[in-house]
Amino acid sequence: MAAPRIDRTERLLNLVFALMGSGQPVSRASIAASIPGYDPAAGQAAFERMFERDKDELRGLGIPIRTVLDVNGDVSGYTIDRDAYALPEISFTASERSALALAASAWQNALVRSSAAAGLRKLESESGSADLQGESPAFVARIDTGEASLLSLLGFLRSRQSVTFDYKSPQSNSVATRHVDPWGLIAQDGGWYVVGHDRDRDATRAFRLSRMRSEPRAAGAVLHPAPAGVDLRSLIDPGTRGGDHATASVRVAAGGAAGLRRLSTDLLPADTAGILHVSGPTPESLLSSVLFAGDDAEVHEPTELREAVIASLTRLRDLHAQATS
Amino acid sequence: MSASTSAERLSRMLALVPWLLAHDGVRIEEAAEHFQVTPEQLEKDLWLLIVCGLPGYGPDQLVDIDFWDDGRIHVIDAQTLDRPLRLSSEEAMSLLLGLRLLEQVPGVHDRTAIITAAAKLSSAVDLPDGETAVSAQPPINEAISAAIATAITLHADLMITYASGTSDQVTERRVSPRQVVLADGRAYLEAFCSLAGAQRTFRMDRIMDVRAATGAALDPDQVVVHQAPSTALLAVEPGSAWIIDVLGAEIVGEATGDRILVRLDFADPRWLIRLALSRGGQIEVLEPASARAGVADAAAAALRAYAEV
Repeated sequence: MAAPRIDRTERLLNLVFALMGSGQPVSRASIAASIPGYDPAAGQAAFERMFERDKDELRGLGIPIRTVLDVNGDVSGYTIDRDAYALPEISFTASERSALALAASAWQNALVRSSAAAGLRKLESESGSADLQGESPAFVARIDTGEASLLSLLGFLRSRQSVTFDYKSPQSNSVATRHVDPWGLIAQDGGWYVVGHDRDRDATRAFRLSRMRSEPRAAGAVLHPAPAGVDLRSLIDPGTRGGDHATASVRVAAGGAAGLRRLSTDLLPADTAGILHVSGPTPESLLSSVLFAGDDAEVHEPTELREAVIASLTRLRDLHAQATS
Repeated sequence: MSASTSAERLSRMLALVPWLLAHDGVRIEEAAEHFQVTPEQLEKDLWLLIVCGLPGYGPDQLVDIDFWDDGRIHVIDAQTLDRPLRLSSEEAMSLLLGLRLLEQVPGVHDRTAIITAAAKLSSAVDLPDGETAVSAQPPINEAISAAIATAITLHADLMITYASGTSDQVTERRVSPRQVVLADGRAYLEAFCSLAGAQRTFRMDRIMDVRAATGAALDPDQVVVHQAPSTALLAVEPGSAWIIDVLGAEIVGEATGDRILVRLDFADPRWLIRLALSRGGQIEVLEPASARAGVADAAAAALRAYAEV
């Protein structure tokens, strides 16, 4: 009769017990002989392959398997230190438990969500589970992105490490390796950015995570930390937050030009036509807002903007009046 | 059994024993729900655990769990598995980022607990608890968000003045606010809308004004209507290539004159036409032909105002 087939999970679990149990390093020979599932009849080479794979898998789960060397520098065995394995004693209040549970549920991406849930369960072994009864709050935080680099970048940010990654330029299709001292992570309008000092350009830059073409890798300590008191948001898009540097007076139609009306502090009722004073961060952004309104807007002042609108509309009309090539 | 499944199962079982110790007498169904597996799977995990332990595998060396008397689970001997494994970097970071964003939610009831939870978690996973610059706070008007929060709490209707990003029209509508969602640097109001007669999502930064609505509340039991998207083909100059990321368009090739050929889903042709207008010719609409003609007509109509002067 053949030996009963031993489930792989059972073998791995027994390996964890064996390495953590005695406090003494356990030799390969002893592992092969004592743990069910390592078939002694299969030969040395088969055992080595299985054991290497199992060891990698356990380490992949974060289990700290230590390789112990003898005086000659040869491997004498393996052990798992309980202190390195176990989560330290940690106790959360009821409010803190609710906060952790809400934080875990913010993730919409299935993979990260299950990671967060697994982390939460470990913490709940210490303090018990959160009581999330009651009405849902008026405001909730949600993380829609599935960018895996978000988590590794957060780790590098906290450990003050420089990072490198392959990055696809927004202006062309070319991919280049970039080297950045990260200062912060910013979400804006559905996209996530890492802001920091670009070592290659020697300048402040923002990189959109969805344009990264490799996992970020650690690349030594940060050399250029963030300047004190800097507003990171203002760095990623000076256009949206840098103040109002362009102004215009525009005639708007009744009920229309909603976008332009948002750029004005004039008290013009929405159902009324009239002249609006609008301001935007740059002349280009104002031009774009006026064009978006189509025939619901007409620029009066300044003349440069008026002429830019006429030129753009003429180009648009001519471009789209042709037959497509 | 695939490698990933056995790793997943092992990970669950390592977490299960300390959790069961902390929840002595828990029912099999409750534990299964907590670990997001079926009760049958959880029972299989328990059966496997009690045949595992230290080499020798005698009665005193095995894990001992009682779970057959009344459907309640009691761990009698956990061997060395009494403590949970440290959090992996991913597990810790996903919770820390979630906490950091939760902290920025307006009107969150217990900000101190969020901050202290993050500090405790950081120290437990040996991370410096330094100030981490993470910001996902969308620009929202405080007076408007406070009025909406109050309306949600009181289940009251509101009149909102909304600047539609699709039609560029300003409309007044009565809504029953449900929840404000802050997601990846955007803020949305989810509400039942009287104008659409259905559940709608409004961008908070386009709500220009709110007022209390009088009279009976809206009936929210209505069907949600989704407009089926159409697909446009655009030729985009490098100067407007940011729309590819922001609008979730798809690059399908190259077009004449250094331009990129892009496919973009849209629900409302009026919006597509305005998008093209706003880029002043940097985006050329190739398909559909009706939208292409629409851009030419809209540009010609807008030019008429200037020709009169």
